[in-house]
Amino acid sequence: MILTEFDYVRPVGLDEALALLGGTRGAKVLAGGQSLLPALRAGEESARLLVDVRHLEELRGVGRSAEGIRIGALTTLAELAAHAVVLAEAPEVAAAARANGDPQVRNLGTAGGNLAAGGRATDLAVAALAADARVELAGPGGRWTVPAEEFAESGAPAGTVVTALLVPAAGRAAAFEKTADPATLYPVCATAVRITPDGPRIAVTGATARPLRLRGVEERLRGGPYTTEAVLAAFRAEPRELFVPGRGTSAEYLGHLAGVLAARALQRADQALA
Amino acid sequence: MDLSLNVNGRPEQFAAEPNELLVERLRDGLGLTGTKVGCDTGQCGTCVVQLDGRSVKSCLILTAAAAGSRVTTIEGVTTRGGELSGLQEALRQEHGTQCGFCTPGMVMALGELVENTADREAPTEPEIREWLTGNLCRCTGYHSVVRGVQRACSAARAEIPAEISGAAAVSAAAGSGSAGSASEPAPASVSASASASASGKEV
Repeated sequence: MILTEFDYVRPVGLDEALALLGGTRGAKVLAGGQSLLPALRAGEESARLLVDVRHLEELRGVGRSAEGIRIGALTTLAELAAHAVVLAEAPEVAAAARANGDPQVRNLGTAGGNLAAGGRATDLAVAALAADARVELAGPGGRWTVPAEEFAESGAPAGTVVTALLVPAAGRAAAFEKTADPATLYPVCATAVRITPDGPRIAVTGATARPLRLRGVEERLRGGPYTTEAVLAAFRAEPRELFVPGRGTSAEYLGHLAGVLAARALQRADQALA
Repeated sequence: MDLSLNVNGRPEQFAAEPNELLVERLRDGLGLTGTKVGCDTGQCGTCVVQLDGRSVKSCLILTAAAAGSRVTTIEGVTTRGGELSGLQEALRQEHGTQCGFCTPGMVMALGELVENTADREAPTEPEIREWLTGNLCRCTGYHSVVRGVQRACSAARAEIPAEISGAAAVSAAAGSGSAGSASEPAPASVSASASASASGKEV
């Protein structure tokens, strides 16, 4: 039962959705609702109006674009995890989508919602960071994109709707690894990596306060080899405060876990590249 | 709000508050109490129903957001004559129900898996267990549920109703079970790590 009260509206198009969001105090975007509804029930979030965009066709679909892959914000996590193009050209994104929750949550939960939920409880953002993806937003001022890294820090500005995730294609040289909390399935630590000609990109969430690119680790590992010893040493050189303990964990444990998961991911991505 | 919903093939019209959850409409509004409320936080899976053919947690969707869709509950799975579906019959034969509280949610969740894989090889044991990630059985009796799904898939592939092909289905289920556990746990399209992480919870 949700004890807080709100109004609900289902706009027929994105323009109407934006007008409602811009013109109503306390209006929030509802898509799959798999993060928002539990938060409303728990009293962690409040809303006066939910603007349900789940039926807007213009926000659906996965396709190729000039930069790589364009993932419509309403693509469900289940669709994303099984999409042939995403699996072939952004495997860390598909694997991260599949790591969220359970099959039922993935059937309703959306790519845009997963990114917009923010924090360290979802898995897609870390893959978006490693992929150096961009988040496309629509607002009163039109449409624009922001780097996924910036979006992970600032979130969706009030009155905007996430419309797409734009992912550069990588081939197979990318991977995702996660250790899930057994009760919640949230990441104790999730890491995504992509190996590029300029060196590896490495992002971590769960173990950190929010999804983060670890540029220090990337720098230390440039040129490889990605042996477990080398990766663990690269993570040990990070400041301990980077790792934020959650239930029953310590910063030391999380730092080590992040290193172990990153090593596995790097080794798999490196193998795929060879 | 005035809303309409197709539930188990019947059009329903009613007035509902915007903050009403679909599970509340089904149980309290429509009297379909086969759908259970276990945790009310989206974790236990006893409230799973199918929305336009996809399994979802009915405590994680507003009635208003589901309006206009086709909802199937456990009451819609059994025929009007009370005949069990192939999956239900296979679960019964494998004793895959235990206390029964989680069973409606499991049938609605697993029904999607059985349906989705009908045109390919039967799902492997790891696939079945991964699919059960969102359904908690506090009798902890997942083994017999897994066997029930394997039996249902074998029976469907043999195109013989499970109830009259008992012996054949058992041997076929055992065969597919061992084949499943010997092969790579993740489907070819998914990396091994994703499979391992998504099934982080032991089922």
